[in-house]
Amino acid sequence: MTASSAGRTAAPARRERLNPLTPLAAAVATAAITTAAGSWQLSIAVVAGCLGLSAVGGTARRVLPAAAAVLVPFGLSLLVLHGLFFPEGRTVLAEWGPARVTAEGLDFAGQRILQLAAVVLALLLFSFSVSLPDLVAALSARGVQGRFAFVLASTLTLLPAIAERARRIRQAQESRGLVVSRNPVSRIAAFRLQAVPLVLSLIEDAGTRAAALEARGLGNRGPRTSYREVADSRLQRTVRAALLLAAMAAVVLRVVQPGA
Amino acid sequence: MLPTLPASTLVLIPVALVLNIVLGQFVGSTLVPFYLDAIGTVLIAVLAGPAAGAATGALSSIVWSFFNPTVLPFAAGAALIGCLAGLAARYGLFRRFYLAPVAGFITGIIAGVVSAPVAAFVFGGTSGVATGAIVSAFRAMGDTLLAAITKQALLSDPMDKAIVFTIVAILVYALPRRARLQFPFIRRHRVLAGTSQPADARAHGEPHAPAQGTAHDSTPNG
Repeated sequence: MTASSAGRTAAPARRERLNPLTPLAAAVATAAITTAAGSWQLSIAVVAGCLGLSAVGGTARRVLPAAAAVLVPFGLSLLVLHGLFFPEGRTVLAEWGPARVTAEGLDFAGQRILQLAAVVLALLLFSFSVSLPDLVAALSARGVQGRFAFVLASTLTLLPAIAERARRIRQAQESRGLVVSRNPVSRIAAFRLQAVPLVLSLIEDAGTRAAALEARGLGNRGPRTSYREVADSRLQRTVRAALLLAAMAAVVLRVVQPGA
Repeated sequence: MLPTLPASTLVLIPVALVLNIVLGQFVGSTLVPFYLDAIGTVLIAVLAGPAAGAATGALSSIVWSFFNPTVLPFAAGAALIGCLAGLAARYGLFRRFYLAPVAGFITGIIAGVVSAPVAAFVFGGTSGVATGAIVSAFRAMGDTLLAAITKQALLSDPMDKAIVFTIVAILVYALPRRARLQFPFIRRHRVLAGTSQPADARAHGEPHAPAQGTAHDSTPNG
């Protein structure tokens, strides 16, 4: 925090001047308020807003598949659950044995799916547009330990590497004659043959990494300075506080008036 | 919680998060009414104790929510699972192979009771098609949504956690002795059968301090 940023940030883009905690607060507040409010109009507005923002920000091509992967199974589950079985429903549209399609059930399912879509899109829009190093720097500056930042950054970088390693272990075992059949016993044996080398190599790696981190003073106490400076302003701090207060108020209101 | 963990445990947390995802995908399929998304968390809890397990569970949810925001509300439940798994290991339930699924079953009951209201109030249902079908069955019998989801959780979670605990027991017993004994938690509390005598660790020349043990294994130029 002591280094001057003059040389490095000659022409900062608009997005870079935004403290990453501000969009985080916005995403969390949007998610909380939409869930608490439970209104069609608000959910649709949030979905439209998020889609618009992701199109403008150029993240739509990554946000949309990720959102679909979450929303399609969840949405189907909700649609089947409430669309066919909604004992509280009175307006019966169709009936097959125990399953009754009711207007109230479909309404409830639609509302929950929209609400969920709004929450998922708001949070994914944040996670796909934030600069991870900036987020980590902002968190460290706010007193969140470098340890959390390490866990976050390390997971995101390890994920593709470990998935690749798991694939290579499977190939190696297959070249040694591993055949996975439908038989559950053979499946368990195949799982063991792949999981044990994976877990073992990961634990070995972790030991090496622990030694390296220890040597670089991860466990040392005392204040830290950051090489990376993250912009912040009084306006952004005020906006964040207001957003979080609004989110808390919405949740409290919802809890106090269960019928609302 | 996080600040007190030694570096040797801290580096395991990202590994656990990735294992939750990778192994969960390997075992789970959409047609089983289980989640199997806690393998990494329970593994770290058994290797490094309840505090590490709880931290792993909570962080796992937070980091995973970067890709799937629907797991975020279950962070507290995931932390509870990690903590309970660590306590089960601490009190010797992983020393006998048949006790691990029992510990998992009990953990699952507690986890189900904690996570059901979240699923009911925040989502109004469950994320999977198979779990959704079970909830539908209870709804068809006239249960309220909360009751139906709680019953589904009490059906799915104990079995799910019993399977996860069993998988973790298979994994930790398949690890070589040297890998297991590098964890002070396992040595101190005799977590696993056959890791009983502290003299054993000394015979292998392993120092008692956690960080040294790992540092000794892998010098920076290694």
